[in-house]
Amino acid sequence: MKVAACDILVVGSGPGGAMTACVAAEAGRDVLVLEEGSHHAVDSAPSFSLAEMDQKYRNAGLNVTFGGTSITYLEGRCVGGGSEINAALYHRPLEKTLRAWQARTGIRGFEPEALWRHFEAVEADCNVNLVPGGNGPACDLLRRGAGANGWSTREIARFWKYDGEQPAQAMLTGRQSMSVTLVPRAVRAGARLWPDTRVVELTRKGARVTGAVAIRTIAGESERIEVRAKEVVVAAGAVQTPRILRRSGFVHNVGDTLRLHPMIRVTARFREPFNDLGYGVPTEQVDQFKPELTLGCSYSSIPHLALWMGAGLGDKQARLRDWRRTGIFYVAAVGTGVGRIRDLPVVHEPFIRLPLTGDDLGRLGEGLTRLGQLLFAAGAEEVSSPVDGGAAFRDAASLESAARQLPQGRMPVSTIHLFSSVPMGEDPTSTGTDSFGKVWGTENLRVNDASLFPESPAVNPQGTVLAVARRNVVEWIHGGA
Amino acid sequence: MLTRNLPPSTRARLRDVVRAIAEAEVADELHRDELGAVPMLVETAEVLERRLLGMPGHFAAGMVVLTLVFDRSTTVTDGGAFRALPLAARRRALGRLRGKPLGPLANFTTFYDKMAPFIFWSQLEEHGLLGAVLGPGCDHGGGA
Repeated sequence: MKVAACDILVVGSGPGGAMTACVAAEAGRDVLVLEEGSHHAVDSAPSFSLAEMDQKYRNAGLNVTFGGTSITYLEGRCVGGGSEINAALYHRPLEKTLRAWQARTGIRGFEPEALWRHFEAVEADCNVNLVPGGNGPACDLLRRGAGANGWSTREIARFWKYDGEQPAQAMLTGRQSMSVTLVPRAVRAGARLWPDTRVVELTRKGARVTGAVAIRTIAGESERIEVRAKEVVVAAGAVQTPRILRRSGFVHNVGDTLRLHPMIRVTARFREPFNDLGYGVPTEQVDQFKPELTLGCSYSSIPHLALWMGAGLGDKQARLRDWRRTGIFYVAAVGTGVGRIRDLPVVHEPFIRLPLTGDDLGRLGEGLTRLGQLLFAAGAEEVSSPVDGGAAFRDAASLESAARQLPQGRMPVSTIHLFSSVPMGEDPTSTGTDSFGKVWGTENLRVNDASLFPESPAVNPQGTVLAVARRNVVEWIHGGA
Repeated sequence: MLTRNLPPSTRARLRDVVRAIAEAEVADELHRDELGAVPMLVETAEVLERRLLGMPGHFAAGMVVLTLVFDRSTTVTDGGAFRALPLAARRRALGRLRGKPLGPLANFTTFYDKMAPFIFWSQLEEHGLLGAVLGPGCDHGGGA
């Protein structure tokens, strides 16, 4: 078996891993990043297309949890991880969310005042911007429907660089994912990046982790490599991080507390055209019901409309001819279900059992009712149901009646927001790591991704992942300076 | 991994069933009389089968078994294997499954109901056929 060595081994190149590698490499440390997926240019395939799913998504996007209602979850599996495939929406979490995390787990040095500087650094490093000149007609429609109900909305910034006068034209190439921001910065500072390298397990000697055994594939040829490292940071995402840790024998409060944001979608047809594909992901969200609920509009290309229209709507081709008047809208909730992740023997895939609770169904039903009120107030003439393949509703009251009791197991629920599977804190009996991500009972093994969140951030999590990862790695490398 | 070593005869039957399901799922979406045959059907079925086998092994194995059992189940209700039924009978057979509260059946119908149309319309988009089907203005360069 070949042997390699480094100072700091980082497993995963998504937001947590990229930030870790960048800060450590720029501090002069010898960093090696192992990424299971391949390295693709950010614009190597159209966003959210079949080609992109084949290239950059784990299992082409078809990962499923078990438990009453199966939840389809998406994970990036490429250099840059989830930042390459998500909506690139950026939020700071609410101050009360951060304070609640601190109060619950006693995390040291987690006061919002101390964290904001890390968010500010993320915003500068990763080009967080609003759409210049307005965020498009779908967002106008969302504002109109919310306004008619007296609800507040907010434009959400994106990890995006807008060049030129026409925002819609800049949408095609402006994504500021890790593969165009922190990963190249880390490499310029001397970090080594090995794509197509899957970590089999971590190696250890007592309380010290000595490195990892990995399988590296180059030009179709795979070889087993032992990587020896002084420090190991696992940042492979909220599913893969606990899977790797558990497989390597680190199981204390690891993979027992996965949480997520369950999301349901409907399609809605309006009297007037509004669907302008050039604007990409609509960036307006209804924030009236945060933190529990978020309402918004999704990217509504024709294949995605066909995906979410459901078989129950009948003649899909005729409906798709109205694509300019039709869009996909979502309800995202803060889930209350807590999931367990296990590494399946032999196949070494994650098995996730996570119940969608009665509270979750109630919350999603409430969101669906609100969404119906918004859409009909904004001029919708028909809204599809997410249940049983999608019957059509023509008024808010009918949709509300159906939303009152959403059934288990009979509607597609999905998520791209997963977290809290190795929570950080000060109490070893209830957390997996200390306040800065060091795994309890180890001297040199750390976690630095969304797994650390004690609970839901109640917003799109990438900004919080980056800021918390930066806080942690600055503490390790510079003593918090 | 669990589905990579299917016997060739099982793999061939699976391919036929998936293609029969794909055709039944998208038949509404592009009427045969417009172009004589459903375009991109072969490509859609190929991608659908690849997606099925590409899911995590424990889940894919269950879905493959369900797909093959479903193929046989119509022998009782419709007098023949699903893959050999006329299109209308296949559409009726799929319709009977929708709304079943049992978890595995819900996963089965959700997978085919969602993925077949998504793949089909993605294929049309990729091959520049959306405009021919839906009218001008919808063949764009992608992006988000």
